[in-house]
Amino acid sequence: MKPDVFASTRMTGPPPASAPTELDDHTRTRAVRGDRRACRALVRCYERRVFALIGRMLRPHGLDAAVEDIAQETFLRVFAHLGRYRADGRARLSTWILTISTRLCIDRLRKRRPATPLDDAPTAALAGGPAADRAPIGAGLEQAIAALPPDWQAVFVLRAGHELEYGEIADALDIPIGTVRSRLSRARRQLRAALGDIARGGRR
Amino acid sequence: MSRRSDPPETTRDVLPGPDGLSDADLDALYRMQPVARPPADFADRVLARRAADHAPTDPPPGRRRRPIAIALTVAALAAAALLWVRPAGPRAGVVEAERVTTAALSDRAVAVADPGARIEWALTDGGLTVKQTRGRVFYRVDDGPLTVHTPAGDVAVTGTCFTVEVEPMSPTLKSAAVGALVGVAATIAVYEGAVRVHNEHGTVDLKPGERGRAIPEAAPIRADDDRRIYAVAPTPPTPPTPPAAPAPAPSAPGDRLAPQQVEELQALLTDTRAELERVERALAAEQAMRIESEGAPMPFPADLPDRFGEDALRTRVQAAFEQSGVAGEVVSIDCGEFPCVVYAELESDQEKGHEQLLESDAMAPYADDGKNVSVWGTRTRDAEGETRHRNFVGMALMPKGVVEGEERRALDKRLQFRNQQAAEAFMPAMRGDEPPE
Repeated sequence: MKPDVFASTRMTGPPPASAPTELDDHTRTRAVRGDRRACRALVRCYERRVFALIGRMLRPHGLDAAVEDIAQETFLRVFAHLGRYRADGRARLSTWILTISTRLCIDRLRKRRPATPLDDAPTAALAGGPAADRAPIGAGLEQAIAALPPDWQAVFVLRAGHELEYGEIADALDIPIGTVRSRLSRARRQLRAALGDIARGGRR
Repeated sequence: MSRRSDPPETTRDVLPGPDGLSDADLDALYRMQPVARPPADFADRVLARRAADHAPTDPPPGRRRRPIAIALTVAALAAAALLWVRPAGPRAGVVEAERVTTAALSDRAVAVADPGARIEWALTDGGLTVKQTRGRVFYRVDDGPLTVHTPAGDVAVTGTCFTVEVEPMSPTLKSAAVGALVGVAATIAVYEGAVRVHNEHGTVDLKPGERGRAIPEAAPIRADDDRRIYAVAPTPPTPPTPPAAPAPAPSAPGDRLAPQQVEELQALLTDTRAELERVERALAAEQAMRIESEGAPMPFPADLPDRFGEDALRTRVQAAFEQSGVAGEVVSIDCGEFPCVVYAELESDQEKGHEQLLESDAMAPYADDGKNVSVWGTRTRDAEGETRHRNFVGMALMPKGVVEGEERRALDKRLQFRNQQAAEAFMPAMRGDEPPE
């Protein structure tokens, strides 16, 4: 359920706001043709969600400086391939765009990080890192997320941060729904354990 | 393991206990963390980068790609053939463009030169310097500093997208511009970053979206007309054409223009007419598309009864609230076009409130009239994470039979657009997925 936008829309007349979180088809078509105002409207419509997702993917790894660059790259790819997007397909345009962002983030993280032993990852990450000077819970959560494999992190971010359905996440990451569930479960288990460690440490 | 139906209000609420967090609490805790937000001019930055990168777009369905690719390749080869690069230092070059030419200035910047433009560039310990003697060039600076020397002044930047156009001025235009003899003028349009334009007479700093102008005999100025920088432009990266200077009349009855001046003025007039036609065509197309998606406003009928006026509607609907006991209030009445639409906010538990309003005695005069009623609801989350339910109704009332058939369908389409506009006005935070700041 989307948290803040017409989640409970019901109508007895023409829809007053059929899709306020999605760009209307007319503007999208103009953007495909390269209309500058339409392109700008597209960016404005999705920029906050794109920044939120990329920030959630990269900031835990200390890659704050790369957030805008990946966000710009996202929209450049959106414009380059917008003609291929099918409004009558399964994916909403927002999901399609977030998919591009997610894959760019995963590529960026894979280039950067070595493989992390999963069993030790959260504990090891809590020892320090880019978020070490923030509030304990927030910093701990961020560090625990940084310790997740990028694929797990992506599943968790899309589900917990952006409330995508399992099917949408499966399509976005090109994995079976069962894999989405298992990765999400494992990611949550690790995050929960890491936060539990912090809480126990704080209570001692 | 605890489960909550509402999101936790503070981090403290979800501190993990011995049994850990529920999935819902963990997700809620995660969503409470601050997120990255785009800068205010992010969209402009994207579009500027897109223009600079020549970002290719998918061809519309039905067009073949191969001929385009071949054409681009031929164009690139032709441009390369026309590009004369000679060594002028450790890292330097000259670009004389006979058609749109893209040149890498070392690995520090990219220049896109319009036909007729000429630049010389050199990379030294002091940074990248460019001497631009004529024409218009778009620059994207990846690693500054960069200084563009023009006959009219210098343009200094650190990291940005901008254009510099150096244009000769005819004697007629010269006198119109500064009342003195000048050879060139430079026009600078900034798309991103910061630019400082200076010459021996002064300095002006330009921000994104601003345009500046420099001539050798006076201090650079910030041009008033900066709207064209972000105007609907031809295919990127070609920057929009700056406004043509107005052609002055002879200063005295006895003045006569030289044949060359007459030719220049005629050419200017022709260009201006062509530009005007292009703008008019673009405007007409834009209006047609807007009507297609938004519908067209409809004029008020000449003999519209008073009960459909703003005052009567306000009085009647407010009375309907009182009579029906529906909790809510009128928040706005839009009478900017026919028909007036009454917008009211209803309390969250008033799901059938609009029906009760319309059935009240106060609304009896409208019982047989045409109606278009839209109801919508939303949940917003404020900065503290509190969820707020808001319900709205938009009621358009009109005499029965005054609009029928195709006109009625057009009217409903227009009302749909108006309701969307109203919904957005009432919900300033609905476009993002985060609570309002």
